Amino acid sequence: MITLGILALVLLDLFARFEPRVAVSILLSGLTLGAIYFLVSSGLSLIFGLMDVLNFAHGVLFMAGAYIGYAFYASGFGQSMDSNLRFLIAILVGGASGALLGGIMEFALIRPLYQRPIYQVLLTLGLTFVGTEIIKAIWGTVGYFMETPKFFNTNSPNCPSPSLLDFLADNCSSILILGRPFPSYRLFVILFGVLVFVGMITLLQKTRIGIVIRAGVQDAEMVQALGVNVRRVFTGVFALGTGLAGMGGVIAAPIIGVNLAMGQEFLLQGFIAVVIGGMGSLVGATAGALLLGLARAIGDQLVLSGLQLPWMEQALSLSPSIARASTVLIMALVLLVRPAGLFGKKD
Amino acid sequence: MSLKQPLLSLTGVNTYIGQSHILQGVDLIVPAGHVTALLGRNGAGKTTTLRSIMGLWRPRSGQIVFDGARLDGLPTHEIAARGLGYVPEHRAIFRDLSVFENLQIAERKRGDLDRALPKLHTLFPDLKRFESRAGRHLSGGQQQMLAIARAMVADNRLLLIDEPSEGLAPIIVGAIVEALKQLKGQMTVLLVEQNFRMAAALSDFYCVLDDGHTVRAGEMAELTSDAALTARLLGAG
Repeated sequence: MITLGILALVLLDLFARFEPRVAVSILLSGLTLGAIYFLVSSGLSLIFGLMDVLNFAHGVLFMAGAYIGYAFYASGFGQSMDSNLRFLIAILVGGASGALLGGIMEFALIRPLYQRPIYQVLLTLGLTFVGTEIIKAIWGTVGYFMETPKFFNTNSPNCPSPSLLDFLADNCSSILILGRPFPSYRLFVILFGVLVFVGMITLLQKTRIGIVIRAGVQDAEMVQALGVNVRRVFTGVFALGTGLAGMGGVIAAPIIGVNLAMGQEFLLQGFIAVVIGGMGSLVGATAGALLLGLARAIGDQLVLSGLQLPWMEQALSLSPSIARASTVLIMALVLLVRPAGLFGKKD
Repeated sequence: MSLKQPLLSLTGVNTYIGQSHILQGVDLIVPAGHVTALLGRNGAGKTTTLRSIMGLWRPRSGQIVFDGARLDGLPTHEIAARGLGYVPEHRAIFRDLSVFENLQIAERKRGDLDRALPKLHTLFPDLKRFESRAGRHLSGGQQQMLAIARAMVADNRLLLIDEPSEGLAPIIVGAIVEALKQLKGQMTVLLVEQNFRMAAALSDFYCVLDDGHTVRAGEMAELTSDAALTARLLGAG
């Protein structure tokens, strides 16, 4: 609790240094990034919590989801369709491919290795390389740019939309928020993240399978001794987690593009978010993801504007790598204060 | 079922944990409708026997027969589904789940809990009072009651209870003994208990293990009437 309070104060203080409209755009950028990190970290955290598997292949499934979703979106097969519908289906295709690949992976490769954690790490790490090479073989080394669908990308003389309501009518690519334009697609990403979060919480708190998952995170053996086939739940949760990652890949694609570097980048951030939030806790994975997203957005802004502290005559200019390093720094700080992470559930 | 047809029987069960040969030929008979105490010193193999029955450790050889069918080699969830309720050492309550959810998860068929709940609430009134409290906020005694209740939600015919008195104050142990006494005659129980007085008060039959072997088995009355024999078998009165 104290750690959370301090973190909140530090964030508030950082925001207070910017003028309000800048602060709001930073906040929204941070939430956008946080939502994408969340789609990766929530699955990582559930999979680790329930099965004790550190799934290094999560990043490559995120990337596979992006490529497969993009391939559908850009293919002739879908061209006759309305771009909004095509985009929605692309998200589902990305999610389904993530879930299918992840499910098969758990069932065929990880299942025999539950007693041997080191082998699992080697296996999932190895699959990362294999997966990357397969993607390279199919789609080549050049990246792709995924256009946002029409709903977020219509030109009209009114653009950027002066308000959210106007946006619903004219579908501009940007909306004015406190007078500053903000990409409308990014607001959708935030909304999508919120919806997935609510869905996951409902699943975990309100359904029988959710009770089994929460109990299994603590003691899978006891759940089994009550007559539940835990192995089947393992496969399901693995597929759910990798499915979210696959979906996340498609959601992220219009912002970061579709390329061979995205898997590693988001795997790393996802792991950092999980470690900050505490292994095995969905709320923790969410908090970690948001914290990272905000830190990154603030870092990027500081790199642009330079850091000026009261005693400095001239603003200190920061290199962009500071923004990237900030996430690791936060992880180190949180772990120093709370070794189990903010909401750690594992013993 | 008569005594000649036990509900559960173990014959020559050998279980290894890693390289250690823990159970070295355990023979055990649990007569239907009675409470059988599994006794023995620390490390004699009592907990390992229960875990072997549940398939949490796979016996390397020997037979485990429940109601005429082999259990050994089956996965744990299928063993449980045959009608075995397991109350492990240290209780293994799900700390992040409420009392109600701890019971709910033990349902094997829809309606199990609705059917069992009135009886469980009479047996353990605290579980009704603290229905929405998280497992981690229960006292040790309440956790023990919840663990026993959880094993009774599904339609189980045999309860395996490991050290129910462990770490509890004498007055709480008394309450648990009273609850278990009410179960006598309704359910078959295999009870592991260090506290001999508690085991003697509850059990009809006993089986003593030492160093992973069955040393002696019989009717509890034979032990309670012969202090010298008890001392020789268990090293204490």
